[in-house]
Amino acid sequence: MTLLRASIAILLPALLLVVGGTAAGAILTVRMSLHAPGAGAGLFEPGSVSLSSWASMGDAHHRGIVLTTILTGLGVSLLSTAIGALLAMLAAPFAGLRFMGVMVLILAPRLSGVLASLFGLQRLLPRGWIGSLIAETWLLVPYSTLILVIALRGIDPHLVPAARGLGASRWQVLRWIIWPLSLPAVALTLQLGWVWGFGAFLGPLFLGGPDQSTLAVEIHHEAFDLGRWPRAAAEGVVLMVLTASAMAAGSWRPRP
Amino acid sequence: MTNPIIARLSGWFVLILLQIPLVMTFWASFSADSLLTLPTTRWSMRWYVDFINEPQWSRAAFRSLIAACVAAGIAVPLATAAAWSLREWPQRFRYYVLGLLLMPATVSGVALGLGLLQVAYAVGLAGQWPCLIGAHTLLGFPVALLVVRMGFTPSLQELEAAAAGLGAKSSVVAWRITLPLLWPWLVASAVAVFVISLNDAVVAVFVCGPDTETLPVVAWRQLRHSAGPMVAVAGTITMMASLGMMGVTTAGLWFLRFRKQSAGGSL
Repeated sequence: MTLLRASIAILLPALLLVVGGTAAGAILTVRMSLHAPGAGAGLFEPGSVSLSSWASMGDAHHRGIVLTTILTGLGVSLLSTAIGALLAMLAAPFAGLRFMGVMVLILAPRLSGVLASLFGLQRLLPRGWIGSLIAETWLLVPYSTLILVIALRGIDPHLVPAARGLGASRWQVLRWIIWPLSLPAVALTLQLGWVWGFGAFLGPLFLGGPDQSTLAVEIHHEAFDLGRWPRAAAEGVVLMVLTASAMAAGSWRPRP
Repeated sequence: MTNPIIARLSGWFVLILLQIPLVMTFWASFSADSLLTLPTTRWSMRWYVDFINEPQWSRAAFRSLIAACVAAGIAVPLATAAAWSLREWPQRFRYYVLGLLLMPATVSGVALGLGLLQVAYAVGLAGQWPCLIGAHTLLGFPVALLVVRMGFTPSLQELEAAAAGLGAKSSVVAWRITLPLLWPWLVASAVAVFVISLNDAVVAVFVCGPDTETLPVVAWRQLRHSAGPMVAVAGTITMMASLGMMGVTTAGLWFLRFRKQSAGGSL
């Protein structure tokens, strides 16, 4: 019991950081969405209570944005998982320095700076939904690959030679050994891709057209370009609900 | 594991595609022209000289470096304490607590930035250093926790139990057993937080004030209007700093492992 108390005590600073930063931020975002926009320098009118920021959430403009956000999330999830699987199959068989070298190349888009990546992507991709989808996928692929590489390297190394020894072709090994054993990791990658894809921001901001705004881009636009912070907060709440729903949907498993 | 040849070829093709934007940025940073056109044939270091001479850019780079070091310095001890604590929690609560601690990684950067800005206003720290450091610590914490947790292996727990069984105090076990075995993971998690902080533009846009603008924020503002060679220079410097930090750390860890093996160390 003393050990448990001690462990709770040393966990407190981390809990304070996470709850103070994330949960308190979420609560304050809900609160700000219920204020009237600030007339002066403030983010909102202190002491005011207003639903004006929520009034427009159901209009055609916002429905379109939510639809783009969902489609982007699904597209990013599927593409990053498929590309991640290809790269994971490439990297997993290597060992030692070769493995590290391939992994550095796979993780390079994230490790070497989003700015460097975006700068290059802006020159390579067309503006529009496809461009923003590819850019966002490009930024997410390193994470997807990492999850899948860990799963593939966790497969019992004796299974594949055993199957090959029994006469299975490479495709049969892939279909009947590797695919079923890596399925939980594929499901996790799809779920995380979906959740992160809902928050797509950099791709749509720098490569998307005006009609391909996602919720994250719209929040930034409302807050920094138009100064309508309560409306940005309302959109932030919608984004958080959408992300939480995606998490919950992805975590649901039918009862055996 | 042997994969079909078509899968391997596709994998190599995608891997090469992944590098192209980075190569283009690197290439563009040495362009001699003010207006960016690729491919360029005139090479110059003028934009790197300008980067160093222009206080807006050089100060932002210095701030980024400070923020990344401090965030790593805070996030790693917090993550280590949390990972140690999680071992002692009953199984049925452990995953709920872990889920709670990993929450910042599942929230969109924009939603997180929006929330953090209001927390900063509520405590009167908007646009100040503690706000930026706190935000980057929060961003890096989930990754640091996952990395450090990988170091708490069953064999480490067995060694700790053996030492405790032989009468070692918990402080001695922590100092002589846990930390020496854990420190490569601590270094790896510090590097991860450093890289995350150095590269963050999304949350920083919300929490930075005029005196705390980091390099990605300054580059971000430029990138939104016109992507000139200075943005390519900023991207290349960030890329080099991240890769350099990782390279030095990896080489250091390999060297120490090699020296320990040469000296006959078993761990």
